[in-house]
Amino acid sequence: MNLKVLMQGGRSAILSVSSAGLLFTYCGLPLPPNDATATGTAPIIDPDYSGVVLPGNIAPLNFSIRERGRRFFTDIRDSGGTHIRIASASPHLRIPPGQWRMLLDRNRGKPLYIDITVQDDHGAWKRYATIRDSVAQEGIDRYCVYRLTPPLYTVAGDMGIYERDLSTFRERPIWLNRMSDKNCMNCHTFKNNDPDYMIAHMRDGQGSGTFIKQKGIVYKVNTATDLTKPAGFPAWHPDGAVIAFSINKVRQFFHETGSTREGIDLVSDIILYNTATGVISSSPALSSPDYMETQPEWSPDGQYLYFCRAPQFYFDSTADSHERIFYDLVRIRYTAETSSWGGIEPVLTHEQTQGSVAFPRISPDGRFLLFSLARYGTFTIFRPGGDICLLDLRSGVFRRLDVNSDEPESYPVWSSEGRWFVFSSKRINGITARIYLSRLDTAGNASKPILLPQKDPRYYDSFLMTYNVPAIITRPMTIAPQRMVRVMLDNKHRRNAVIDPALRALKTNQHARLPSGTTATDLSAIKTSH
Amino acid sequence: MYPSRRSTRFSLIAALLLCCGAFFYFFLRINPSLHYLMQEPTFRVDGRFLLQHLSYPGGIADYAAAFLMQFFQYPVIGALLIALVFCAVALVSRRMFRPVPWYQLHLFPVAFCAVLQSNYYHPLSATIGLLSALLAFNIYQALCNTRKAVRAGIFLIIGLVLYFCAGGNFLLFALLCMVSETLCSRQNVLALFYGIVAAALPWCAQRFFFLVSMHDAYLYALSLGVAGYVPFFTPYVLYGFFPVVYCSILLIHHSIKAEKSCGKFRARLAVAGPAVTAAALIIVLVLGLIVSFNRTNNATLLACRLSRLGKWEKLLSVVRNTSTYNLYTACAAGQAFYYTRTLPVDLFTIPQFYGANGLFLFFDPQAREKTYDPLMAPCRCDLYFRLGLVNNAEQWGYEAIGVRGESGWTLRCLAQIHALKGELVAARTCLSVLESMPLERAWAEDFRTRLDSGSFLKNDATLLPVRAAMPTRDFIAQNLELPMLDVERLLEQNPDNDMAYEYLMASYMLSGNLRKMATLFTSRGFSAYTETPRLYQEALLLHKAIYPDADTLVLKNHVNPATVSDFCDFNAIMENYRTDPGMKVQKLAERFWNSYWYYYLFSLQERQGKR
Repeated sequence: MNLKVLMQGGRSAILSVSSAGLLFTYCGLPLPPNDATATGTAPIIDPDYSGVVLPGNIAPLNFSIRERGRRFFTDIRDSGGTHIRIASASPHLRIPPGQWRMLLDRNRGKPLYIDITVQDDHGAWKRYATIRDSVAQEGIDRYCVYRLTPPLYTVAGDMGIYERDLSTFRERPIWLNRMSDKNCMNCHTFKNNDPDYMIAHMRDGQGSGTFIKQKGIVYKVNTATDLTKPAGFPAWHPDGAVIAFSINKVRQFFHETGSTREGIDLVSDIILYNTATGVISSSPALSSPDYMETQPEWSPDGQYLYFCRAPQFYFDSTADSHERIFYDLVRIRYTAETSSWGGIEPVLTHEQTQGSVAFPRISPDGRFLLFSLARYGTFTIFRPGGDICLLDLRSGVFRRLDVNSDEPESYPVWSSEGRWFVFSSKRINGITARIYLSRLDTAGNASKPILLPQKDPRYYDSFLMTYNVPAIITRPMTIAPQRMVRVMLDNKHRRNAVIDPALRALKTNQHARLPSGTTATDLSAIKTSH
Repeated sequence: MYPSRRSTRFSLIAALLLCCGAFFYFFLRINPSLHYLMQEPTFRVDGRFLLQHLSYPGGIADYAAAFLMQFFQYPVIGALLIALVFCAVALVSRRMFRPVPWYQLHLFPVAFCAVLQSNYYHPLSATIGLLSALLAFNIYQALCNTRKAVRAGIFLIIGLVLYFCAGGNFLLFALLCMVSETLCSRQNVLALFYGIVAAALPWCAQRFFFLVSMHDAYLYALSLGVAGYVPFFTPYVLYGFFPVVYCSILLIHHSIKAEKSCGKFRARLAVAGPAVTAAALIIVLVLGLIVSFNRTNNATLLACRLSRLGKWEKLLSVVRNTSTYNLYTACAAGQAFYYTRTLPVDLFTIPQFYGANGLFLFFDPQAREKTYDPLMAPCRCDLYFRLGLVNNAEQWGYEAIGVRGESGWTLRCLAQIHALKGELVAARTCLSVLESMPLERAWAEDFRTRLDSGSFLKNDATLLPVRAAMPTRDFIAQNLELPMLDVERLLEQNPDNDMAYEYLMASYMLSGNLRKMATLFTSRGFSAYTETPRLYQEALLLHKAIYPDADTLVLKNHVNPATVSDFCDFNAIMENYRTDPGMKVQKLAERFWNSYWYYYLFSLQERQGKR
């Protein structure tokens, strides 16, 4: 038998007795009578954790009861008679982690019930309809990595990349820009959810460049050359030998009504960085002057590179021309042994989606492809209506998942076993993105998304930082943040990328086709000057 | 050489007098509310905010400074707090200089601190850190009669705590301990040990514990890296003063003790020393305060503050009485002219060096670094909010939060912007942050109540005009490149937006675009004034003079004979002094210095390099 005394909201003591098959929690506050009036309606809880499927290892889903009352009694139970009972004068519920863990462990693959009873200001008790959740048989990869920033416009404020243990509330910084030159940092990406293979990017200031970790080797690459700008949106080839990047010249601008920010690519190309030789290469199909290619993603077998592609666009800030940038999803065959490319194969076109595809992410088993679908462009997080969609790569059928809201959803990523995915959404307030988890069954149906739980259920109410670029990893990062920064700041860890002669010839040829007098030397300038 | 009761009393009274002087100086001249405006520190009562400050060395000093600085919004309280901090610095310094009490050496740090604090960028955390280091050294001194090993232990404990709380100020503490051990206790090995610890502790802290840069690991919470000190070496003098003077005192003390007949030397010191130090103190204080006072920053910040508070008449008086003009004063004055209904009348009563850029707080795109000036984002947020361009205001509000952190004023603006845009959850998020700030809670709770009841606009003199002035259809903002275009589009959609109209007219006049000015005037007419404002009349006359094909009916209806007569006089002077440009300018300036004609022909041409 295990005895614990806990404080709930600093107001009431809870005595918890745990024995085989039974968890019983009692507190000094009066318990609701059995004849409490049933309201017949479900209680409003915030975050809304009703009807969700929980990973078997998720941290306690603490929530606030948004019903008026002076006493709150919550009974979280399974069908086998195990309970966590919490009585409190505060509507902000904090579930004891140990009991929660036991409850989840005993109920893998089974339902979980939450009964909430509230005593109103006149002393009468109201019992709300039972909330039914279920616990998945499997857990989710334990660590989630994301960037936390203030809502960014043109200036990078204090920001950092953090690692969150999903089975507890522990969050630790793995890279803060206060350690360097207050640089902007982003594009942290892992190969197959493996923290031993990591890329992150730092720009605007001392130490700018791309950080690469391959097993025990860490170094910094300067992907900018005389023909290419610094690269972003990385995707590791499954064998780890090459990394696909896109090179984007981004234009940010602002609207005068509704959602403020807008971003578009003025030009973009896809390049391949060879981690062994440091050579940057591409193919005419990946860096065509007639198209903007971006956001690459490898198939799990490494035979195809999927990416988004739209016809080259010429920006006019006084018109709404940017609303006609529609990205198709295409793929190209890649033979790793010979580093050779096949031809472009359309996968999902604008005619099919009636929108614009962004952030394609293929499930580890290669069956599904998650992507963001926006009305136009690829900056889906800026645009209300951006949705998460699922493409069945076997049947070629795609559909919007039931995880979407009216606000932007973006950046889906898979867990290592392909049963869970996380994405960011601005559904709470339209301003700051939050991370949500959802389970995908074998038929491709997504469960109701779960907001990343926090110890204090009111955490997000006054949190103005935005979460972006979520990634799931199977193990915690082992490299010390200080070492990462040293690698970036110290030139002895730096490698300069070298342009492949074929790519140089290709770009020079494109340049030669420009009108006479064009002196642009870099790829972006070549395209911009069209 | 140890203090008598009389000298102790005297040194306390001297410290008290100096701090009283500091209070009045900071209250009447520096104005702590301008420190607040420049730095806008965030202070929140929540665990997350505290944890953030526990995550780096010097964070506790920042936390304490943020707590105190929130009261700087009220100049009296701010000045009082500064005086109290100075008083504490004097008291803790006094013990260090105890062997020579009548020299009043403990007042010098206060003088240096006052010079530093005159800089609006100076972080209060640096002064608090210094105070902590001196306090720590006092504790160390009090325990210095213990055994060597115990002293080393005490040094380590105090040093670790001090480093955690006050960052780089630990180095000053370590240096003083080294001096003390070398000269007082003759323990050179222990001093060397302290030196090694002082060098190694920040390195180890950065390497193994704290996620900060190496620079911050050593120097955080010192005022060495802060911009804007005049003279620039003041922080070095302050930090150097303690070890140098302390060292000197100990050496003198030892030499006196060593001298068998020290009476003469002592007597000489006792007579000359206090007089010399008193004179030096006065010179340092007076010169330091004269030199360190930055009139430009003071006027700029005052103009921005008065603009925030909506004290337009006072703002205009400040701007008219200052000799320094910059984009901030120009922008604040533009708003003051508008709100006092004198924009089309008195615009040229202050120099318009910046043309239309001054109205919109628009820095030359070539000077990109200016974009990140800490005042820029919040001031632009206020301006665009008043103009009705709420999305621009939202953009600059969030820029301000990115650059300066979550300041109360900006969050208020953002809460109102989101409420006006119907983004109620976003507004409540801002209110939740405000509710965690002690001095903002009341406002936030009141606004939340109004928001929840759906009546936040009711009788709100600030929000109602903004609501009426907002654009109704979307267009792409140009405020980063050509802010005038946004106002043009806004006015097209919302012709009743008086501020947009007057700003556009003013910006056309300021940029010399008479055709656009005349077109806008003709198309809209003017009803806000009983007669056409003077500057419009002048511009219309000039327009007709330059473009003879312009509509004469406009002149007939809107330009009164007195203005025509003035224009004739203006032209007559131009004609009479055709051969003497210097005299021409002088004569014109005497009578027409605030006319549009004078601006157009001289100031504008000069600015555009077309003289």
